[in-house]
Amino acid sequence: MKPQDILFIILLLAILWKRNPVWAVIIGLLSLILAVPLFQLQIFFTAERLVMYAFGFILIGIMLFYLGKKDRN
Amino acid sequence: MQIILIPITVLIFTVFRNWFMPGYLAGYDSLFYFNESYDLYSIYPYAWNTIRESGFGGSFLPLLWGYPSNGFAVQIFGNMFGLDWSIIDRVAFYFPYLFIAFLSSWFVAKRLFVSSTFALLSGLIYTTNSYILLVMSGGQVHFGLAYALVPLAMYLYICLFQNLSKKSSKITQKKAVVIGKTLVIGIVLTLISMLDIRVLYVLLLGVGAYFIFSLRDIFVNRTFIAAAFSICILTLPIVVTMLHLSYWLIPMALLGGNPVDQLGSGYVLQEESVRFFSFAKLENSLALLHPNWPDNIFGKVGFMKPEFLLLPLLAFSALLFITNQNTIQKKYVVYFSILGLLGSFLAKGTNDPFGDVYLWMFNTIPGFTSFRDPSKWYILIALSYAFLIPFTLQSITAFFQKKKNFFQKYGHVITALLFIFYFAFLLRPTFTSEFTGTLRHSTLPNEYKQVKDYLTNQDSFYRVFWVPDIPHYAYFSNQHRAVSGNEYLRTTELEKVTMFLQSDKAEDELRNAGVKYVIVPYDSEEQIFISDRRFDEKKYNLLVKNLENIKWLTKIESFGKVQIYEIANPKNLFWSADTETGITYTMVNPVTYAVTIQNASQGDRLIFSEAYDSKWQADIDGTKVSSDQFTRYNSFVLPKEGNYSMQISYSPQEWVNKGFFLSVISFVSVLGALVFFRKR
Repeated sequence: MKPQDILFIILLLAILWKRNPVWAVIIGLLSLILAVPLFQLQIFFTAERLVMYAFGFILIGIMLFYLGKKDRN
Repeated sequence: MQIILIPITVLIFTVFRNWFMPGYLAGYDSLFYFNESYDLYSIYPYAWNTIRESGFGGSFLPLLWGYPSNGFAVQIFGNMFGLDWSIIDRVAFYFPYLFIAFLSSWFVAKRLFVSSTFALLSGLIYTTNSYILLVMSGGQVHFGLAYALVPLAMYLYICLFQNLSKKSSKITQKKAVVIGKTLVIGIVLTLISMLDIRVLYVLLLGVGAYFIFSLRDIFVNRTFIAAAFSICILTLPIVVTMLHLSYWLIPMALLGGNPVDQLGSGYVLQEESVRFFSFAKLENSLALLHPNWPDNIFGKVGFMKPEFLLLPLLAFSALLFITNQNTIQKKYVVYFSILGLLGSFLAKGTNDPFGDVYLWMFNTIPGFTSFRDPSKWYILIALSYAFLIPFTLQSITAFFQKKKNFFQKYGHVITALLFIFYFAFLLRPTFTSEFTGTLRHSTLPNEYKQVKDYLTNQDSFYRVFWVPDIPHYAYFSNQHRAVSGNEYLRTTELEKVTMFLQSDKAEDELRNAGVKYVIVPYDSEEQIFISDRRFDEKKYNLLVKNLENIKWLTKIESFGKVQIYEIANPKNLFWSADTETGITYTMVNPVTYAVTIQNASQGDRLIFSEAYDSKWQADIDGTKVSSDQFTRYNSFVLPKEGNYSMQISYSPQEWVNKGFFLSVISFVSVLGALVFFRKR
């Protein structure tokens, strides 16, 4: 498992604990933004991973929106 | 709104400018017919198609769903009005695609959740994204037209769900109106099915997702009868569609056969095949970027273009603007976001992550075998982004309009224009004249007009063996069939076709097949003589040189680079080994021939050189004789001697006829019901 995978899991667990769909989507979008320069520099492995993380975070965000969970403050 | 329409119109016209100019539209999959070829299609469905199996005919049952899309266009515009194919192509397929795709997506976006101005961007995105551009430039017009209808079908279904949900403001709407709406949906689904049935499958998956979304609204706190009524209403469009497609479904159901098997030996249900066709990675699909963009060369996948990642960024940013929206708008944004992710996941096929899920679906879910090529799922992504992106832009504009005074009046124009310029940047490869397929100018080479005139000068039946493949502008008809050397020998290697022609068996084999001419084409579209995906003139020259040395091929004509060789004494469509037997025949239609035999001997074999199918039968004075296989053809053992007539027919046509009758009744009934419900 790569360090970025570990970071992804940590962030994912934090989002699931917080149950904030907006934060999940924001992190997903940030992952996509980070992927742009990596693709441009042809650092494909990490860039592809970031896209997968973005997919995962956005999916979690959508599920939280759908289920209408309240933010855990 | 009018200001935005101008740059959008300019951009669309620039991308599709070739469609508005004289000349032919020549994509790899696009069609071309001379006027003399219009007899190939009819308005009536036939169970046998003479150009399948490379000019030896084949059962058309698995593909019968699509017969109207060519049949009506060719018969109405071709035979009735005598129009040239360059006009039919545009009037029947390409212009309707532009018109319907833009208007349906714009209309739906406007009705669902964006203003008129930003809804125009929906039309732009849906009509000119990289996926559909490569599909249309490749000439897959039927698929494109079905794709164009998807937003409309989706909108009609969403309206229906709204009517059935307890939060709908029209909960008291009369049942008659609801039923009327389902009938309209049924007609739209039928149209989509007749164009490309796979698009129907994709659409229904998207509708199914919305159904799951709406489960709570439709079924919670409802009576059993109300819930049952909802279920019936939701399935009614599919029932209507199935009734309309009876001409296809009934013979397929009764006569069996796996439609995928019928597509040919290349369409194999193997995991390797699915993996091979999974060209798009997750970053491609999520970015609505076709993996072959912009070259559109099969198998050539370019590096990821990061500028396309702004599309999913804009699309999914819509989720950040829904907290202050009303419930229904929130629901639409969440639903279309799910659709986008679902489409992205499926369109990547067997690639990471969780590629085995696609394989499992391919092997398990009924109908999923039609998606050996996962790129069809891009439809869901295009549909999703066409609505989400304008919503995001509208929300961003509204946000800044609260804060900046100068933005209040023209903010929507500025935002829309910025996006249009960005989208034009993505589409820049289409601005050059070298972009592929139908978006590039193509003219009918004079050589092919001359070949057509030469071949049509003879009324007798014969086949033409094109080496190695049938070119885009080849002439063929029911009377003069075209055979592809590659398909005949089930190879893609020119050397194997050449070796076959140089072999001892080739002369008799082609003569028995009714081949009168062997023709080397002029590769005007640079699709045939290829090395490393580039045109290779050496291959053409070597082929011509090899054919010159074959003694039984007599070179009789050249039209530019088109070389025509003749084979002496080819057999007719019907022939017998007994030279004393006289045979004359008339083709009534593709499934029926009237044959007259003179001086027949009992036990003689009548050869019918169409691809063997046991369902061909001869009716001789009430006695039915089934076809026996003779090499790759059909044959009938003559039961008696002398002179007599017989009818050769393809038996599945009987069920097609019955199914067609039911289809017509169903269609007329639906129209009548719509008039009735409208009056009520």
